[in-house]
Amino acid sequence: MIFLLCLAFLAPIIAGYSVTYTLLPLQKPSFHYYVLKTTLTLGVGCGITSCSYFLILSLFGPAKIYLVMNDVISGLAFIALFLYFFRFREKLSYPAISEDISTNGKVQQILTLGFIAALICSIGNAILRSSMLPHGSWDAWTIWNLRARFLYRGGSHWTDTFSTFLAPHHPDYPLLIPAQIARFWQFIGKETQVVPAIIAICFVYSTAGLLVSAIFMLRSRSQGLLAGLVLLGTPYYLIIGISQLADIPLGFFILATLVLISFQDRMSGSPGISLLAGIMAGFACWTKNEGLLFLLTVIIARLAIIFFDADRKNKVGQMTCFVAGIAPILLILLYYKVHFAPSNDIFAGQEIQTVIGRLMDLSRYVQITKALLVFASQTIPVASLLIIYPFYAGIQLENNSKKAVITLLIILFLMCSGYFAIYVISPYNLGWHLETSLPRLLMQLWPSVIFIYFLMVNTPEEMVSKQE
Amino acid sequence: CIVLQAISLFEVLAYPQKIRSQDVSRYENKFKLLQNKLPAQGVFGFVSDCPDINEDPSAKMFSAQYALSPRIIVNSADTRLVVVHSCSETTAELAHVKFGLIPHIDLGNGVMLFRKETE
Repeated sequence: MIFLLCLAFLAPIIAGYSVTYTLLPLQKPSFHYYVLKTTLTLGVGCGITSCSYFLILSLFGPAKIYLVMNDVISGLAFIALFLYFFRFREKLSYPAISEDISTNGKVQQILTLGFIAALICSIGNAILRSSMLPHGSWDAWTIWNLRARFLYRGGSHWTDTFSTFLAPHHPDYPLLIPAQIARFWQFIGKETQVVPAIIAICFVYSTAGLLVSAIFMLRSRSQGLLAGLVLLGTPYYLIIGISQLADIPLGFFILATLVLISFQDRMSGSPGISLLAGIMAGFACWTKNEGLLFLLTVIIARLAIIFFDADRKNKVGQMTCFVAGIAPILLILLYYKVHFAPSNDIFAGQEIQTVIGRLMDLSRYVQITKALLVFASQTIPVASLLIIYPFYAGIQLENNSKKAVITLLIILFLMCSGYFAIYVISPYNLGWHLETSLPRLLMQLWPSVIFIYFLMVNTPEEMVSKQE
Repeated sequence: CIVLQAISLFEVLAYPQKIRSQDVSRYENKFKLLQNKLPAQGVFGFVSDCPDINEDPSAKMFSAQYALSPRIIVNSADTRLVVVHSCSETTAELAHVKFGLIPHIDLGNGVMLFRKETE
């Protein structure tokens, strides 16, 4: 089984690496760039193979031969793509994403040790919790793993997963995670809980790796380590992450999109980055319905920046590439929503009068705000450090980061507003809805919040030199 | 941040039962014995007179759904075959009187399969 499990990873790695290698610009070889490419490879590979598994299932049926043929053919296609672009790669050169920033050796040593300590604690935590909860938490076995079982066990009746009898199990949710789990099971020929656990852990640490390497490249090594420390030092993030839910994978794709948007503003001649950002946003939509809200906020934010930017032509070019990246995944999502998924429980059957009534009900706004404050009070140790730190370190927006940071802040604001609005119009008991979902929604955005935060605050080196 | 993560790790080591109480495995193992007794697909009813799991009234049915998928389990006694999760000696009698169900298969672990008397 271990051999087949490793073999099942081959198609996502080949697909992910080919796409990432082709689209990301050449940079000076460095450890942090390899980490960045690796984390993006895993995300892209997971998304591509999940989409292809769903398409194979819906067009040809559940027979294993089609899955194997698909993996072989698409693997060869991606290798060909990789080899084709490999010939041209050396002729292209782009300005460096990262700048050479002087480093403070002692600070870095302390932060590196601290990061390693946090990493070891978190890995121990992850392994222990995964072994105690092999099927994940409530939402994992009532939604994500349950749907994977329907896809895998259902045979020709796999579409039973969309039955309206299963309405409490959200049959309208997209299929990135369940399809990937079912794909692995079908490849191995066995249903094992090791698969969803590995997928969950991969997304937790890919998010951490992406955050650290991105801040590393955009700011400094110390800053990257600090960002990683904050993320891995958030126990609730890890608990949600290894619970086999789709929130942390969604958080990964949101972060990846924002990272790539930050890169594209520094490298305006590279269309590949914008294309890859679109692909990541598309996979966010394929992971959870909140991904569609995220996509909308990205488009609004970028259109706003284009409107006020002097270099409009370049920004329009970036936006075009972004849309080209989303398009294939949105088409698959559209096919899924039209032909298979039932209506969403939040919006289905809601009359306009009822929605307006809830929008006008101030008590709902108060209840949501109270719930946010209660959650914030539970995160006091980390939250208070993050609030105090900029007063000590200072904030400085670099010129080449300003547009990216403004875009990211607009996106974050719109996402939070969108979540707030959904709670206001929710047809469920509001207290129950907040209790069971608010922390998870906030954890979707947490890695991105940390990313934006550490783009803005001074690095330890800047802080030390300022004091000197 | 390191301290927070270390505290979380300590909680796992010191209070493993708190985490294990959320695990669905033991309910899954209970219901999955029915897999060979039920048809491979279809909609089947579910009734239970057992206490709620973790104070959640839907948890028993959801764990049966998880174990028995890709069959669809509904909170009803109005189907041809009904999964009964029993914690009382009078379950069979009550099921007959209240829902018109008669025992079909008894797995001996509180999980039984009933069918409609008219079938």
